[in-house]
Amino acid sequence: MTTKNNHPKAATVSFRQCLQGSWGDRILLLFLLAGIILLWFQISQTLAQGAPTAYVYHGETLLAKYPLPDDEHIIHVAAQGEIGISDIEISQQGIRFDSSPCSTHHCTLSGTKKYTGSVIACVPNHIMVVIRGSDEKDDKTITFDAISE
Amino acid sequence: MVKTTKKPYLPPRPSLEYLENKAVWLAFVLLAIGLHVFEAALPSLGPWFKFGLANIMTLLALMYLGARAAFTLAIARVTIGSMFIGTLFTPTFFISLAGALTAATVMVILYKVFPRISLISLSVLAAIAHMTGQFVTVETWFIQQPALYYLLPPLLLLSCVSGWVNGAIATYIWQKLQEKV
Repeated sequence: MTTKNNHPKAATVSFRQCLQGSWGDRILLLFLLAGIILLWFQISQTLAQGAPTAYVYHGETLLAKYPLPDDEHIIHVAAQGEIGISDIEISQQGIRFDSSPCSTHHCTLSGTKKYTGSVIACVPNHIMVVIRGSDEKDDKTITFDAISE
Repeated sequence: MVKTTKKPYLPPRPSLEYLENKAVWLAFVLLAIGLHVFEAALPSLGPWFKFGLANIMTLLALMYLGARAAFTLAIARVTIGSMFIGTLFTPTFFISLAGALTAATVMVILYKVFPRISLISLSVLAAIAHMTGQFVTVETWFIQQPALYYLLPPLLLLSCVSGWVNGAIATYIWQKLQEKV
């Protein structure tokens, strides 16, 4: 069989040696890790400061926006998506998908997210919830189809 | 009277090398589908993240058979694998296909530009491309919110790890295969 590789035939090494990689691999990894950490830092800088607020989106549309409650209140947002209604719970503990009409249920299995910059998305239903600091300019709470307990 | 029988037209036989390459490609595709389905059956390591074991086969197809084989393998394994796991033509399928094609494209370009690049480097860069391709697809087609990219950096870090391990596995298999041939 003719192979189309340009690599020279190397002496056989164990899997452990393969796992160690070459110096070139390590340097590349170091650069990539530095780049990713820098990107992470840049993204965290763009998050607005202020009280953590949950934003619920359907595609491009902002459906609801609630500051995370300070007390025991639990807010349920029924977000109408492409395939049905996703029930999103906003509480002191954070945000979580209570139920979703999707088949994969990655969104409900994501659990509760509390910190600024956290995102939970239900891709089949095109619904996303994100926690951001509330903007000073855009501080109007949008209440849409929500039930408060 | 002499009977003349017309010789039936026989197409030229494909060369042994051609048949061998087809067989190897098919073996890689079957293994890639197996890994794709196996990974779908495993407990999720977290939302949005998979180890990407099937990319090992794309990498090996590129090394052994070239760019075209790598692309066709990526498309075949996502399509047939999705049929088995019941996600064909769902958002998961399109996201998976976008990731696999982006990874294959990056692998092919890097391999053409830097022919001596190691499989580990190739795999790490392909894993990063795979994850980025998936996010761009989701942001373009499904959830048009840039806030989605908040999730990207931690997942890219995990991609580096999975890409490194997959690259090491591919290196090991590649040298073992070279021994036998």
